[in-house]
Amino acid sequence: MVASSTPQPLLRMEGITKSFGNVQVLHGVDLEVGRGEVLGLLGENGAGKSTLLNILNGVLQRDTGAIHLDGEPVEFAGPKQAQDAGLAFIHQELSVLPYLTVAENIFIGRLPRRKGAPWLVDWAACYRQAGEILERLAVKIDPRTIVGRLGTAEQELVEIAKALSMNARIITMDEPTASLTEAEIERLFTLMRALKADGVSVLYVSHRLHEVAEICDRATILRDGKIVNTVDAKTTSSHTLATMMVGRELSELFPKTEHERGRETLRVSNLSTVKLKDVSLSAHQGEILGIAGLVGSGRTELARAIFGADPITAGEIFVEGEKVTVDSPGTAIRHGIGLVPEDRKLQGAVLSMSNAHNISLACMSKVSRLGQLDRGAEKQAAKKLVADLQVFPPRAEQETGRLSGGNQQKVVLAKWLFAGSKILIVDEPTRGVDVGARAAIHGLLNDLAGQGATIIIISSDLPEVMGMSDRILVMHEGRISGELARKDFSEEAIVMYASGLEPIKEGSNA
Amino acid sequence: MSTLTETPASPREASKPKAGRRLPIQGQQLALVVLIALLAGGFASQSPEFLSTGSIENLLRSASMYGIVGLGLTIVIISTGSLGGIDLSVGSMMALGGAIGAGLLGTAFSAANPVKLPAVVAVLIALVVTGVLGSISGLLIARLKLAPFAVTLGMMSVARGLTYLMIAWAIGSANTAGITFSDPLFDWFGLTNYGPIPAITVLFVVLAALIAFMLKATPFGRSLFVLGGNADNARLAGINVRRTIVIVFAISGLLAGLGGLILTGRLSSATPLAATGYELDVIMVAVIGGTSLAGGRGSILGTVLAAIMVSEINTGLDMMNVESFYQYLIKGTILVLAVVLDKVYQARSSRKLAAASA
Repeated sequence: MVASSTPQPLLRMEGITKSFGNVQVLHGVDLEVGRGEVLGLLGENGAGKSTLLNILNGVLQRDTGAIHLDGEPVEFAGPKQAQDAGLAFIHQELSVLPYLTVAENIFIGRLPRRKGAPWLVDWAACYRQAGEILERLAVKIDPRTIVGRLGTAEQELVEIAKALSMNARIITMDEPTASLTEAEIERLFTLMRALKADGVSVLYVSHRLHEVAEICDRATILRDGKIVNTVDAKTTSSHTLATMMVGRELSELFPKTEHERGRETLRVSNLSTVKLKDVSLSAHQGEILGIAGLVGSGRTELARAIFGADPITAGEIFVEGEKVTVDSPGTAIRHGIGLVPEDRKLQGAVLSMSNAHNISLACMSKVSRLGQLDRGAEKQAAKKLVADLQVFPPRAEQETGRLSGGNQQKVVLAKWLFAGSKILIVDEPTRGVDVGARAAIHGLLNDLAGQGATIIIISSDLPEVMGMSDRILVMHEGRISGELARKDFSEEAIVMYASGLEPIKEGSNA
Repeated sequence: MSTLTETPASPREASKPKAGRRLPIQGQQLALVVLIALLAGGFASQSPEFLSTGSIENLLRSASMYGIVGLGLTIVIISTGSLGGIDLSVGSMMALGGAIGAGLLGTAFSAANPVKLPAVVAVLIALVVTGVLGSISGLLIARLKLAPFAVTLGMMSVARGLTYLMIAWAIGSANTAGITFSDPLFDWFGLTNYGPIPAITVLFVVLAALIAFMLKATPFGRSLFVLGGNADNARLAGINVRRTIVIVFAISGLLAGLGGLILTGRLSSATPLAATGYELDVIMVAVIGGTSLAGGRGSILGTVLAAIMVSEINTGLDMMNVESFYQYLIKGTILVLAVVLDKVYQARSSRKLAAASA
């Protein structure tokens, strides 16, 4: 552990715990930020970073623990109280109002009023004060510019200016560089150094480990809702950070069954979309192909592109060796491709419909004759599938929205079984699903592969993707940044590839 | 009547096992039946003629006309409600349908009559034109992702303009008198009875049954409910969203054209200002019938009952000699109340869903 740079830290969080329902997300987290310090907060998706930051900024309430600011205990009933206390939160998704000017954005909700006529805005003062703040940041933006005309990086600077105008002492930045170019990142870092010099502290969240070394003083690593360690960011290698982020044993057993890998069923070559750059891959009969990567790395976009849900700008898709044009999900379904989407409630299942209607949805022609649905046959088929997949309650006419998350997911899977998909892409198949249903879904995917289907599994849950897959492709910023065969699987390697780095060869094959 | 009951939510019933026999209609529809009876009693107590054969026949004609147009609007709202789906052009489309049908007959009294077509052909052309205009609205909404409100408001004006042009061309002058004519086919629309039942009421029931069957028992009908619930969901299930939107707006246009031919038959004339403001009545028919403006939920039986109720209100208020400005006030209030009820229903069902999946 590295001690904080000042004897009295500006911010101290102690023993923070938080549960959502039965799930404990934070287990007694301690965190300190010194005055004028940039503290990196690292952790995998789901480690509890967002929850911690939301608690700090008054968005969520902690269950137990204490927050001290300048040595004084503080309570934030809401984001407004946190703001008043000098905390600012810059989200990954910027919250600027694109049709207003820079100055209006900075002072929104507290525009300066005219003396003697407080119902009128003092625009002169508004633009002058905004100009002063921007000057302090050495930012050359006219406060009268409409924010929508600025680039993402400049919009982020506007958010920082807004934070400073509220006299923020601690600015939380959640992945601020996610959509910035190299030059813009440099500019942001210059600004952050200026903030430090002014005594402003920054809590910096990023998945880009090399940035942490460049800008942060110390780094705190969070894993499974607990603090693993706090280290000197300058002297700790990216590899060590990655190991600390993931360093856990496979805590759950995955009943990986070995299948004969058959012929190639899907080949994607040089596929590009708005979010994907030159992605190539192939998948085979009986194979479970894992796709790992951070949220936003293009995993979901890849699934949607193969499924015809997003337009393709370049590249080719081959199914069973034949070039196909997948221009809509309907075409993909006819080529035997199925997609279990990430958002089960809005994209996977139609919650207001019955299980039977959901199951037949992607292939209603199978239970239709002369353009008329045979509802008896539809119900019979659904009954068999809900029984086979152990959906509870096992009723074809049950409204899907009334099932638990895991059972809803089984219904979505049943839809593709009914449609007879040969290539099934599952995106976060067990997110928000209880342990029992997880095992059942994993078992089902294994069975399908055993029967000769091709399964592509996308997951943020590294134990899951490593436990299930025969091979893993790792994505980073819209590209495939690495490929691992089962014998080479390691969380460190995946995290390094996912961060855009090369894993360190340790001669493990030797 | 139970074959007309259409709702995708049969599981809602299944999830609530009931002891004993289920009524053939439930909830909102039962409430509509009760309201229709109460209104009939109320109007009859004010003016006893309300229950005369002639009055009931008139009411059925009016209900059939609004109902036929309402069927189209019902499927528009069911399938595109989540995109803000509405068709404001139905009133003008009625006027246009009637003007084309009457204008092509060449039998207008003391007019130019530039063409003389058989009535069947004239009617078919009217239906094709209004169907095509509806599909143009659908294309703009589906392809360019424009707001249905704006597109159909534009179409409302375009169709009204075409109505003026059609009538001016048919009578050879640009006055607003319209086309007055006589024709056996139009008499069928406006005057013919089978026993005590108007011919168009039979037509209405047949069309309602067909659309109810389509919604309940065909893949296309099923896809309308999925699309109305969530367009993204529908697309990922392989449904051709664009084509579906074009088809429902084409059907809405065509049924509005048919409603306009009926109106023209009843009046034996087509005027440029015909059916002005009728979109309000037609939207009332769909919404009071239980079609959710949020999409994904609706009922043809509800639309049929609401058509009867709305016509009952129109006829009853007319008979009581209520001034038209009060009529507007009353109808507007009823429409807003129906939308409030829909909102309450949505809030309740989403709470139930949240509670069930928690």
